[in-house]
Amino acid sequence: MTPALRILIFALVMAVFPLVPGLPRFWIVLADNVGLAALVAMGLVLLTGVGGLTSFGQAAFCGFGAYTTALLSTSYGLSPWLTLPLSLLVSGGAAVLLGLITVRLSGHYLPLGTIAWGLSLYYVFSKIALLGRNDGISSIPPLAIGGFQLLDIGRIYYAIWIAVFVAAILTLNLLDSRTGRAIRALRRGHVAAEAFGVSTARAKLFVFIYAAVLAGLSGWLYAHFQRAVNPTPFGVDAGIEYLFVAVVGGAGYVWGAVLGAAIVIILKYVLQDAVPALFQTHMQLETDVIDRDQAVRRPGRGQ
Amino acid sequence: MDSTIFLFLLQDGITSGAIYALLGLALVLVFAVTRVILIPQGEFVTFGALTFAALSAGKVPGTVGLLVMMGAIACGFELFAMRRVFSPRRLLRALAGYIVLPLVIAGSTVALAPRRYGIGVDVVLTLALVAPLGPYLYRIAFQPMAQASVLTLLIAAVGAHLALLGYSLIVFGAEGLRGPALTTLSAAVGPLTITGQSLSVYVVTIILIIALRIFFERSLYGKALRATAVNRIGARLSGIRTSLSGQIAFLLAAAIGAISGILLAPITTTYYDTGFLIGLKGFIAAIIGGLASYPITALAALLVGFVEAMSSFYASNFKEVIVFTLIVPVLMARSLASPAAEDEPD
Repeated sequence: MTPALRILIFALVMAVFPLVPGLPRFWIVLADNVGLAALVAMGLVLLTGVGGLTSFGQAAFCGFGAYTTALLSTSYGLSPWLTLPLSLLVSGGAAVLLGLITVRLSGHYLPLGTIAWGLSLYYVFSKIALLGRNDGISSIPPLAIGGFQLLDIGRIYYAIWIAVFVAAILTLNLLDSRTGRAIRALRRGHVAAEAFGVSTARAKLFVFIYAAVLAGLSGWLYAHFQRAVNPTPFGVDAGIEYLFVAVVGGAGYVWGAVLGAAIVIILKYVLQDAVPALFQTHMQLETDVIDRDQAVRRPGRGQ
Repeated sequence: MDSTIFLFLLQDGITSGAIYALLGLALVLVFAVTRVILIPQGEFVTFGALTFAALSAGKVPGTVGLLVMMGAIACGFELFAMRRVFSPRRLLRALAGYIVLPLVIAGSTVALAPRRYGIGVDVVLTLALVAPLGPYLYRIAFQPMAQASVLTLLIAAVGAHLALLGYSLIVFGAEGLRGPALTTLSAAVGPLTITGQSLSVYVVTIILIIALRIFFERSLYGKALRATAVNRIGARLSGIRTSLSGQIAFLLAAAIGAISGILLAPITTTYYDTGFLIGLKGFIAAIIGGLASYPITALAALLVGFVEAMSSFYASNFKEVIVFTLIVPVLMARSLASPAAEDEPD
C-alpha cells in the first residue's frame, strides 16, 4: 500500500465517522478536540521531534489565532473566512518576533525561555481590556459557507479534519523538500549542517514560524468551534499538554500528532470518569479540575 | 511617587526578593549536582505553606498521605533495582528510609496535630513532612534516568510538577489558606513599619545562605556534592555515591522550599498552585546567575523582587508580564555568550 493510498483510506474513515448511525454525539466532540490538538502537535512534531527545538509555549500561538478572529469577527463584524489569513498572519508575525529572540537560545535555555514568554502572554491575554480580560470574548459567529452555517459539532468536524489532513500532507511534503532536509539536519548538531551550506538560524526560525502558524490555525478553528475564547486554554499548562501530545504520539512522526492527540484526549475523558471513583471523598475537587478543562473544551453552544 | 512609597516598595521587594533568593539558590544547587531544572521546586513551597497553615489550624495536613505514598513508591523502585544483586544492608536502608521514616513522621503528625503545641512544633513537623519528599521525588523520577540529557530531565521535571500539582489540588482543595506569623512584633522606623515577619524572612535567608556556605566548604557531604557537580564520573571514581549526592541536593531543595513556604504563609494567601509562580521567579534569578553562580543568583533575586514591587505599583495588571519578560534579554545574553552549548548529543 502506498503512503498516498493509506492517507486516502484514513481520510475516508474519518469522513464517514460522524455518519455512523447511533454514534454518541459526545464522540464527535472528542474527535473535534483531537483534530484541534493534532494541528498544534503537528507543528511541535516538526519543531521538537524533527528540529530538536523544545517549546512549552505553543498554546500562546493558538491564543494569537483565536483572539485575532474573535476580536475581528465580533467587534468589527468581519467574516470568519477573512479573519483566517489574518489569524495566521498574526500568529506567524508573533512567531517571527518571539522566534528572533527565542530560537537563538541554546540547549535547555530554549524551553525555559518558552515557559517564560508563554506565561507572559497568558497574562497579556488575561489583562487587556480589548480582549475582555479574564472573561474573554463570546458570541463569536460560527463558520458559514454561503448560508450554510457550520453550527453543528458534526459539521465543524469536517472543517477541523480537512485542516488536519491538509496540514499533514503539507508537512510531509515539506519534510521531503530541501528546506525539510535542512530542518532534519538541525537536530544532529550544527556544524555538519552548516558545513553543507544550511543556514541553521534561518531553518530554525522557519520551523518555529511554521509550527506557530499551525497552532494559529488550530486557534482560529477553536474560536469558531467554541464560539467563545478566554485566556485559560492558551496558558503554559496547555502548552505543556501539547508537547505531551506530540511526545506520546512519537515526536518524530507527522501522523504521530494525530495518534498522540487521540490517546491523550480520549484518556483524559476516560480518566475523568474513572478517577473520581478512586477518590470518592474528593469527588467535588476532581470535578473542579474537570470542569476547568471542559468549560474551555466542550462547546456550550451550537449543538 | 514620593520617597515613602518608594521605601515601602523597596521593603516589599526585598522581602519577596529574599524568598526568591532562597528558591533560586536551591535551583542552582539542584542543577549543579543533578542537572535537573527543578520545576517542582514551587510545589515544595506550596506544600510547606499549606502544611504549616493546616497544622496551625489543628488539622492533619494532606502531605501526610503524600509522604507515605511517595516513600512506598520509592521503596518499590529500590526493591526493583535490587532484583539482581541482593544486599541485606541496602534492603534495611531502603525499609528504614522509605517505609519506617515516613510512617514515624506521619504517626507523630497525626498524634501531635490536634493538640496544637504551638508554632515551634508546627515548623518542625512541616519540615519533617515536606523535606523527605525531595529525596523520594529524586529516587522515583530522576535517579533511574540520571544519565539523560538536560532536556529529558527538564521534561521529567515538568511531569513531576504536574503530578504534584494535581495531588496538591486533591488534598488541599481550591481554597487558599494563610498561616500564622512567626512573630507579631513590629517596629516603626521613620515612616516604615517593619514587621517581625519580614525581619524573620531576612534573618532566615541570611542564616540559610551562611549555613549552605559552611556546608559546602567544610563538611564531607558538601564536598561530595561539589565534586558531583564538577564531574560525575570523577566523583564516582573517588568513591562518591552520585545518587546519594542527588538525594541530598533534593533534600536541601525540598527543605528550602518548605522553609520558604513557612515564611510566606502569613504574608500571602497560598493556593494549591501558588508555588509554581513563586518558584518560577526563583528561576529567573537562577537563570540570571547562569544556573551556576550563587552570589549572582541571590542579587538577581533581590532585583526580581524589586522589579515586581515597582511594577505592581506602576502597572499592577502587567506585573507578571514584566517580571517574566525580564528573563528574555537575560536568556539571549546567556545564549549568545556561550554558543558552544548548542550541540547537545541526544
